[in-house]
Amino acid sequence: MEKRAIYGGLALPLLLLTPQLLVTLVFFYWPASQAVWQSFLLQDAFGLSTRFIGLENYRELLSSPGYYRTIGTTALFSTLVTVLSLSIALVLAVQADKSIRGAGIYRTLLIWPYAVAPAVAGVLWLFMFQPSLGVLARGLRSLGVDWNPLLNGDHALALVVMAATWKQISYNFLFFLAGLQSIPRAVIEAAAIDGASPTRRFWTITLPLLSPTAFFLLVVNIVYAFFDTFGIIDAMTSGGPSKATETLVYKVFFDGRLGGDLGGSAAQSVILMVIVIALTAVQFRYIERKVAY
Amino acid sequence: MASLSLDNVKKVYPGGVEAVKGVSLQVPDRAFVVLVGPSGCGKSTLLRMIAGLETITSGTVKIGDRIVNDVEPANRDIAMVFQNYALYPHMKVFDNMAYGLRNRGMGEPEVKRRVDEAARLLEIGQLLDRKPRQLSGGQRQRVAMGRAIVRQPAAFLFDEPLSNLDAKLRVQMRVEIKKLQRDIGTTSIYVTHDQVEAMTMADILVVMNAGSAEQIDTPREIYQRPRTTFVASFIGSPSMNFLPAKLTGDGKGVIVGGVPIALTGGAHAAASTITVGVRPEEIVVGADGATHTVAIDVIEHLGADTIVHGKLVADGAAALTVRLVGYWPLAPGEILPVALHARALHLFDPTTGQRL
Repeated sequence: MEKRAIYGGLALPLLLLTPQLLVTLVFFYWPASQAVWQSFLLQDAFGLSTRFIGLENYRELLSSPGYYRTIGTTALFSTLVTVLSLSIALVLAVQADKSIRGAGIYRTLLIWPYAVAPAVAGVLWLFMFQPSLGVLARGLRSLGVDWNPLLNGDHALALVVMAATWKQISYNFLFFLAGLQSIPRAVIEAAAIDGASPTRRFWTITLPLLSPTAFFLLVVNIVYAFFDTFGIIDAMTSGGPSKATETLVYKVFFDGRLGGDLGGSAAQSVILMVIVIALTAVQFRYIERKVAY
Repeated sequence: MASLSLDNVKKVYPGGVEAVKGVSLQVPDRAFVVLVGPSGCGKSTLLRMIAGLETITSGTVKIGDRIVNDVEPANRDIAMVFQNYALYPHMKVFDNMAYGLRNRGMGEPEVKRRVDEAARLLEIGQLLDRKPRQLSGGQRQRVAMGRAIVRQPAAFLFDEPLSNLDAKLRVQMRVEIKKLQRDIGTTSIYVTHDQVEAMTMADILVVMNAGSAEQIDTPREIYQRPRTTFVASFIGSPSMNFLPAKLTGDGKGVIVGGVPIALTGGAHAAASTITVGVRPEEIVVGADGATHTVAIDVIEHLGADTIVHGKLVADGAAALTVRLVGYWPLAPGEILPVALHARALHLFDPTTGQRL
């Protein structure tokens, strides 16, 4: 049932909407349109001269191998973070859903990491894996691994993936746990009586019933890996070594803020914006319809 | 198909709560047993212990000749129908019914044959391609039944299967379940709090109270010779009337409200105080042979019956409910002459509640 309020004219609803519209305009549409406009411009590093160059920024971007490398890094990074954080969180949630002693404490502890700021999380992991000082780095070295995220790009990527995953597990855990707890116990019991082993119950009953939650989290996690991991990457590797951990969002910052290429950076932002819009559209299309069963 | 037996089955929860306090029960093959009692009496816990969903603290549960205390629910050869049906919401009706068969590695042609047969029996053939959410409550109930039937188990367990249906559908399904069980002949245990379901469906009725089986008997025996005041008050609607009374000096009569009534049976221990139970429908109204009078408080016209709530005009003024057949033009405040006949009286010990 849809609720509709009936207004006499247009003035009152507009007035009521004004604050929201203003906020959206000032903080979203205006900067966004600025970014789009900027992406058509060429500006010197000091902002003294500006020239309209049309799609030249995009053309340059799309013909640069470095940009594709960044796209590749982002895709790899996002896939790893999403898959790892979703699957680890699911395993933890399934365990926490069992009636075990101290379940409350266990759950609370698992939720804590979410309260840690991204940069702090990054620094924490950086310390643990710092080649000469880190507790875990030493362990790795004593196992014979030549661990050095400061020089080895794969190691650096592994490190940011770990930190970013760790940060997101709590969030996913919360949703998975809520999802698991909303599955009626009788359904699981019926499956047990129907002769399904615990493993088979998980794959044929629990997981399908969890699919709306899982799909929602998939989208949220991709968006997270794409955009919200900036703090972690900046604090840990600053995109290095030699851009091995540079994702799209970090490149926007690096090229625009540090490289002074405002036009190119704006063009990247616009491309990112298109990606967000696409992801959001997917999210709305499927989640709003409440998928699965 | 199998018999089923419980021997002194107990359930104690961590923390010491005794949910089931030693129930013994013999269920012959093909019998329909109903566990009835108020909520919290342990009837569902008992059923779940038979299903294997709750551990058994002590005692043994046997299905057929096998002790199943430590057997997984899947291997007990039972099927259960849950109160909220517990259908798999993401599966079509066909797959819901086929799930248990496929889990046991049955070949697809045989699965289809069994499901189709059960669907025909339950008249849900046209629903096989639907998801549970597209079904009405009554249809879901049938699917849940179907899921149990296809398995051809040793026993059916029903956990208040009709309590989510509306009154009319409940009556209809009650009759259908009973008929189906008779046709298939599978041993069944049925939990309910509804005394009408209990009375009409049971071959053997188990009245439970506070974790114990108060009486295990045929419904007729339970109605006619309740062993305790609890059973007497729980079965029958409106509830049985209980009146304080005294036995006469020779123990061959009883004094109710100052009026002596000669008992038909043998003598009881003399001069003791007892509780007399009399069902509202067994009180005879009319001036002829009246033993007592009732001052009417409230009258309920049910159409087929008239229920009169009043007080005995005598010392103590005990409350009395009388059920009269048909429409009676009575008014509150009127005095109704009634007769309590010896054959309608049930005598109980007032302290233990046991039948004398």
